[in-house]
Amino acid sequence: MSARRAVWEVARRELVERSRSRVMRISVVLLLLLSVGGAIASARLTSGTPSDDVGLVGARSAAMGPAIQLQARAAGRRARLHDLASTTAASQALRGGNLDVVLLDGARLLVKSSRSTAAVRVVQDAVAAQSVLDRLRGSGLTESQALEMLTPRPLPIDVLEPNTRNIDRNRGLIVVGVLALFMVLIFYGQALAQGVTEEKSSRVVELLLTSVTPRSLLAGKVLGIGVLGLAQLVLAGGAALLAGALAGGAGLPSAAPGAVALVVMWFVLGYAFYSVAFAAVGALVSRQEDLQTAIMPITLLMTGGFYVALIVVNTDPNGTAAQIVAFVPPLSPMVVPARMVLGNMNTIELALAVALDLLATAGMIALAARVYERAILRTGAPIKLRRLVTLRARHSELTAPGETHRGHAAFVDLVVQWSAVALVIAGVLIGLSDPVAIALLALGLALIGLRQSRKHWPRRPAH
Amino acid sequence: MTVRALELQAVRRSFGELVAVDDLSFSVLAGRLFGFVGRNGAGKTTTMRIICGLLAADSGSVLWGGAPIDARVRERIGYMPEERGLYPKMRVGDQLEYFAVLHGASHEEGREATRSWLDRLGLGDRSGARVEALSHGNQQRVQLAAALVHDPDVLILDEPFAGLDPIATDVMSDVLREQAARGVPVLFSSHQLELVEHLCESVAIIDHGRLVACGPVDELRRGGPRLLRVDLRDARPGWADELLDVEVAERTNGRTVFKLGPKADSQQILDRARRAGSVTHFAELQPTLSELFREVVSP
Repeated sequence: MSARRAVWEVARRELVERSRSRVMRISVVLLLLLSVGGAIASARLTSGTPSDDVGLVGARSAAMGPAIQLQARAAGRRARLHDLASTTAASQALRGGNLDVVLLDGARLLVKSSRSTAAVRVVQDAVAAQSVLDRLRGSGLTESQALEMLTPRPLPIDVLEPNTRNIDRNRGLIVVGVLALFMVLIFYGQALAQGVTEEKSSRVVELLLTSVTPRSLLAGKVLGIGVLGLAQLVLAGGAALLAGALAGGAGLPSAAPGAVALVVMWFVLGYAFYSVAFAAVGALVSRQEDLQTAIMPITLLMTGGFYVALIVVNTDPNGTAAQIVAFVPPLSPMVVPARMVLGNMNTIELALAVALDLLATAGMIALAARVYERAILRTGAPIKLRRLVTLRARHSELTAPGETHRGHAAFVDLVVQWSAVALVIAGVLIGLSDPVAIALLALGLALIGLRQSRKHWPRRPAH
Repeated sequence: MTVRALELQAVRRSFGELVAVDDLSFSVLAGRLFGFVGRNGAGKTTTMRIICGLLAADSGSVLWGGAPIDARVRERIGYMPEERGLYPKMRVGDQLEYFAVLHGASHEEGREATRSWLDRLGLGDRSGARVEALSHGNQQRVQLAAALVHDPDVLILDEPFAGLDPIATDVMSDVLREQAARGVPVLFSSHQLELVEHLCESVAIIDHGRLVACGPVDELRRGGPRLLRVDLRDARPGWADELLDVEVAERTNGRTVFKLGPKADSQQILDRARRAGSVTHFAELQPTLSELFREVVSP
């Protein structure tokens, strides 16, 4: 069998078997719900362009329509015009709260109670401007000359301190994006490591390797699980963009599509780097019980990258530290998207970060494949190498039956994990200066910590 | 036309200081059942792993039909590892189909072969069950099916009979005979020597990685020590003392089995026995495989 077909068949099994798994399905649905809910909340909670409902009674009022809309736009508002048959109908609509102001025959205004609303100002200015326009036209100017006199080109504006509200929304966006990236990376990395250890501890690998080379097996597993992770992330990102667009309100920040694209791209790059490392460590241990400890160095590194990204977001996205860590390959998947969206990282720097990451990934793949090949049958594997990677990986040849990860425990674990994520996201969405938000964040992070430590509690043997 | 054979030529493999397989040579003819016996740790599993390409030999070679085994041939080997290996959470049918496909079959062929093997082994209705939900015996059957599902040209089975009940043992024996009749060389290891003797045309016995006996079972038994069984009623104690070049191999009430040296004279023993009591049975014996095994393997 050709190596390509072997890789494809192994990947196919991973896709089919894992998409059947309940834990996998629940995690897909949860991430989808979180991203769609977050997008809708973000779109709706910030209001869009304010609008005024203007009633027009009589032909002369109707003629003012275009002028009112022009004036409203100039004032950063939007006017919705309603033609009405009579003053009585206009009064009714005003009392019912369906209109903000009514223009009667182009000569009088009618309001419910307040005389000085924004809507009143818009109509007043529109009528005044229209009369000036008419006079200018009367003095021999063309229509366009008259309009130009009335609406001089606005002066360009230099902003000393950019609109903080927009930055805050982009911050929320990138925190959610990087968090999703981090969670999906860890989730699928761990799934891969567990899969490798499962094959080793159940000894099925001995059967597999009679017909497939270790490298094909490794490549197939990495590919199959990676495609699932990518699909989950693309699905969640796409759904969030769609939901944000359909939700009305202010919509998502303009940086959202770019952020989703960056997160997806850096998932692919990050996964290529981390997945093979997870697989190599999975091959070093013989029992699922030892796996969590063995993959600690990798998860710590990733968590470090995630926190660095958070710090970048919260302090100075253009600081020296942020600029440097963006080019450190194991950290760049989490840091670069944050620097691109919030900071001043340009395309050339992005290309450089990608190039460095690819270089490091090539090295990691070479190393991990060597370790995997030597350790997966654990015969003839140099112990020194094993010691180097993890101290606890040395066990007797006797292998305990694969730990049966009980569905119930897995479910609780999943709920804890995602509640923690939801808390962190909620905290970020509320705004990082709010004490409630900080409390939510702290609670979420504490839950994540608790979950990590729970894995090291001794388990009952699975007999 | 010469019969194809699986040949080992001076295969050697060591792990650090330990020489697990030492200069091992034997061949298994196509269509033969070949028993591979030896004590625990004698090097059987290592040898089988080398044949399957899971381990590299330090030196020596493994040939099939006169040519060194490469990846293409290896794909045509059916292997049953000693430590059973299946995906615990994967469905039986999907799993067997997967193994068939990894050995080069198409998915349709794999499905078809899976169905026929599961039916043949009495698991036709368990195709959708997860492996971990099966009993030990049934898992063993799935393991056998995994070795056979791609219609292999060579069968290497490490302890296929371990832990089987008598009925399952019969099923396994039938399947192995059937495969041999199809022209497949079947090499299997076992500690159940009666079974090996009963089933196999040839055996190889290894000890500390070295071949200590090899050949057709009948020849080996004939070439073993001469044994003489004497059953004696009301025997006078000590009657068998001071016989020339004779060793008592076994003594139960009334029955004595002698191992005869080159100078021993069976007629002299008969005379002595008749004087000691009434002889009810007197015959030369061929050693069983077990006796042979104890003879050639270091204690």
